[in-house]
Amino acid sequence: MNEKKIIELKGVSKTFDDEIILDNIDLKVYEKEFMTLLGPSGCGKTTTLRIIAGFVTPDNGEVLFDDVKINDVPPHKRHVNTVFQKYALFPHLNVYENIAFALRLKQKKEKLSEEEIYERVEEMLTMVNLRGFEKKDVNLLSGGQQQRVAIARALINKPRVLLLDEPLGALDLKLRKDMQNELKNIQRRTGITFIYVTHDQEEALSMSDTVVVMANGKIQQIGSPTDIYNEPENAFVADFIGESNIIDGVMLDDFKVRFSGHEFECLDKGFGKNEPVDVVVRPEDVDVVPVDKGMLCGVVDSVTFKGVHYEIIVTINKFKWMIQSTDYVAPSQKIGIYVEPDAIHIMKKSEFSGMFGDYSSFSDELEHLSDVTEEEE
Amino acid sequence: MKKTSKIYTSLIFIFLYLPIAVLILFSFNSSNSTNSMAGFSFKWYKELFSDGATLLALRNTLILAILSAIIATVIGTLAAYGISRMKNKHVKNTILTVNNIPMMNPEIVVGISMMLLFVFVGRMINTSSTLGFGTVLIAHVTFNIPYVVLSVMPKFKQMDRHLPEAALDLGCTPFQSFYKVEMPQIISGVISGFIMAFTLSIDDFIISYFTIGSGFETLPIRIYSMTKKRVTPDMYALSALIFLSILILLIISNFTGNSNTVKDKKPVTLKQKKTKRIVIASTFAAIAVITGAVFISTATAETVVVNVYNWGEYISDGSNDSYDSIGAFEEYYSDVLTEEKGHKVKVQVNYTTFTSNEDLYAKMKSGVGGYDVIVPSDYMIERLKNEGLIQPLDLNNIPNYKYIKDQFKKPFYDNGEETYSVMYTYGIVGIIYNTKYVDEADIGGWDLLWNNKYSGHILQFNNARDAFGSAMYKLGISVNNATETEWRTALGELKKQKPLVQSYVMDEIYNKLESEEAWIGAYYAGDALTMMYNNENLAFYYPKNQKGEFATNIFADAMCIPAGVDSESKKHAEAFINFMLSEEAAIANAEYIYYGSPNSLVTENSDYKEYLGDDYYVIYDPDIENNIDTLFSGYAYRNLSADKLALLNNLWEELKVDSSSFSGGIYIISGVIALGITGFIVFCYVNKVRRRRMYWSKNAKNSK
Repeated sequence: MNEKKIIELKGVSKTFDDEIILDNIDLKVYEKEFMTLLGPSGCGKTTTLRIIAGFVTPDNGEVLFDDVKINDVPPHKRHVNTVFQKYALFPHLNVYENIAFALRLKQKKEKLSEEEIYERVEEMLTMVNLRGFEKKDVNLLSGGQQQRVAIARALINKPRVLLLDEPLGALDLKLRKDMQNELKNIQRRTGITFIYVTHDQEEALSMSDTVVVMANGKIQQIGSPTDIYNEPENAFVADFIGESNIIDGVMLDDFKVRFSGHEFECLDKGFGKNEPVDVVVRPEDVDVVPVDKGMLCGVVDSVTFKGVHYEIIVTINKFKWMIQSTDYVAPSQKIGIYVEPDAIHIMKKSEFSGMFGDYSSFSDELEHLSDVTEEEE
Repeated sequence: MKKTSKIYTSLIFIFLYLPIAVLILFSFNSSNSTNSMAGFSFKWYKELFSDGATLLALRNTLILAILSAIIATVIGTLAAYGISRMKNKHVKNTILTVNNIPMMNPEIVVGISMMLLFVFVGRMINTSSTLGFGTVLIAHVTFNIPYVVLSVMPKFKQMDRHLPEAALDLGCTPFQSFYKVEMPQIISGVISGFIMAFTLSIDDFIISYFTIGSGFETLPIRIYSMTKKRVTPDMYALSALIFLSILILLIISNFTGNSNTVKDKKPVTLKQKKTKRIVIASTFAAIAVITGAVFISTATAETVVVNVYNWGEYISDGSNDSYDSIGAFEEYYSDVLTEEKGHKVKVQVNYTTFTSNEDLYAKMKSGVGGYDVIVPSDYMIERLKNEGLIQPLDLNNIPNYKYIKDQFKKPFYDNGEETYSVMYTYGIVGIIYNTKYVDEADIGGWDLLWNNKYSGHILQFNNARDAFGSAMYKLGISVNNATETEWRTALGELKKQKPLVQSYVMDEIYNKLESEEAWIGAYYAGDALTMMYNNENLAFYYPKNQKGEFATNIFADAMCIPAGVDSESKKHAEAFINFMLSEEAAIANAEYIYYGSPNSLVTENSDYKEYLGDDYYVIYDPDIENNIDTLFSGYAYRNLSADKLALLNNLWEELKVDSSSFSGGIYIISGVIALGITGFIVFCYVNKVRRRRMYWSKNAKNSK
């Protein structure tokens, strides 16, 4: 990111009822950036967002906006606007008045005429494809329409930064995909910095310029979607982003790693000799080969048809591997697997080592945790 | 199934609303009989609106209700706002429970405790009359707050808790956020809370009764205190009006509050909200108009205030084109004072009413204060005097005292050197009988109430002192100095009478005798005349005992001045007493109250005699007139000692419990109730079993 820095968090911590929610967070947000805070429920992502919005005051650390400390600036004086998880539209106002709300507040002070307000609201309605809905009662709109009103309402003030708190969480899958595209388009068109909170890794990868993976109140990794996917920094990131086989290994030398009783070539270096490491192999990077050609071999536990591919679970050396393959293999069949050197990613051991990686702990389980809508507060 | 439940529901509704329907029906009755509808008329409504005191009470009630509802709504809403923002659930729940307790608390407890607090604080800051509009307002605000909190809380709960944040986020200050965003969400709860508070305040009696002071009377208190004499049909009209207005308010409050309760997830459209707004606005407009109208209809130099505390319906107050003794006094005395002081002085009488001597005593004893003239009955005057709660009068300031007839000047309760009381009215108990059924030969004594010939048509007092009194007068036992054996003898006499008695009654005697359901009963002369007016077959006599002496109870109500009244106020109070003894006022009051007057200006006035007609000789029967002294000294009830009082209560219970005919009925009723409950339980059980069977059979089918 070579643009100008707009928001910076320096050593921010927050504790609620003796529970550490945020632990010394450092974060820089740049202009025109689409940044996503990604993590499971309780990781502190919403709290981070609320600190930026001004609803939560950090216990320690600084929040800087254009390099000015804004820790004590109340929400209504910050140049940020928020799209709330459940929209928080004002039920007593219609679509037009909901969107015009922010302008009405400063109508007198800035001497805005009705025409100006009308134009601005129409502009917003056009942007979110809701023209003709002006007089509609917001309580009677569909979820997607309410979402659009919420976005229009937050953008009418032309904020420097738009904060979005799981805005698509309540929509169904199809609508969610459409809205993802639309949001991305709006962001590009307006050039406003978006800080987007989600627990949906797919959403994060497909929309963001920068993904911030959070867990246990700490930032685990900051990077572009490809970096995060291809070069996860620890077992948590590897597991949370996409699906991974994470195996205990030992770095024998540069470019040489040993796991599952076999020595593999890899592209990583700079580890100590015989240093224990976590090895990540993505399921789609594993090739199924006949037993005699395999680097490792094992017995197929189960095969599930997933549409594009089969999901094959193979037990090799007591570790259940997940393999995604377009070729069918029968359960109980003995197969070999082959892994290219560039498919192997080596990570340093971390507090998350050993918690994930086996088929039995695949990230589906974390997904359902994140569905809890009541975020920490 | 459905049919039975429908019938059941309609039965419940009939049970609940029949009394009110009857009330409304009788409010349109053209006669004042409670037995029959004579015809349709708005007479009582007209009468109601010409009654200045009632309208004044209505005005007070409305001011109180509006003020207390507004204050309680503001405080309650802010409280709900605070509570809804509490993070700690335990604290929150505790506070909500604490909030609910006052609603469950018996009103009497709230009322008494408030009075105690006010009087206590009043003593601390050394004011003589603590209770008044301020205290009753505080009391009403206090009991209204929980209801407001209760109706606003759910609105805060329902509100998306991100709404205020969204408002702040879009640039609202916290205050703007409250009134631009949160207020519209909770407004329906606030309004229904306000209406609830308003209605509760309008019909509160108990708490008001204890915390209200002199000079301020609310409608419920006024209605209740009218029961010394019988309730007049204009009170039916008033009750009907109150019922209707409260019903309308409740419907509106449901309309505003109910439409988005927690259960009802249906979103309220803006259109519905608009109609709602119109309804609410019109309600408030209506309340405002009514209040304004009442204000105008009762519209106000130095003001001298005289606080008078009397029985209900016990003064000629200008209603029904009668003489307004209070207004006349105000006018007369303001002229007197203006002349005396050389500048305009306004005189205002605050006239409030009480229901029993014991209530009056409690007020005096608690040191509430603030009354300048009170009108207790004989035995209570004796007690107040002995306890130093009333002060001697300066008869120089009451020149009209000379018109009080001699036999009423030193009655047993006030026969010391100093005079503490000036008699206002008196009444004597006599026997009313129906000439159609009762043989003239049988009348004359108390034994008519024991006469076998009229078994089943005799009424006895439903009041220990009066019932025992009748037996003791009959037997020639002293009602004040009887020994325990004599009391038991009287009990035996009452037990002997019991099989003959149709029922033990108080005010029901009017209906029973007027409708000829019963033929014989004892009551006060003035009241007997009212009955005789409604049924010309009724006649009346003062009973004699076996010795041939008149032996019956006489009561007297007399004007006194409480001990705490300062010399300046006392002068005004004495002027009031004096005025009540003046010819015109005394006659008007005597005509209005219809009891005996001790005032010679009254009894010797030819117009008055003409007005009473034959009744004059009933009330002022020359035979009894000559015996007033003996009646007062020998037969009037006096205070009983505590142990005699306890004995009397025990004996009375013994009489009432020992009622074989009655207990049979009780058994039958309990049996029916028990059977009903058992039936209901069986019904429920059978139903449950049936449903379960249906469920199983369905399941069985499904599984196949």
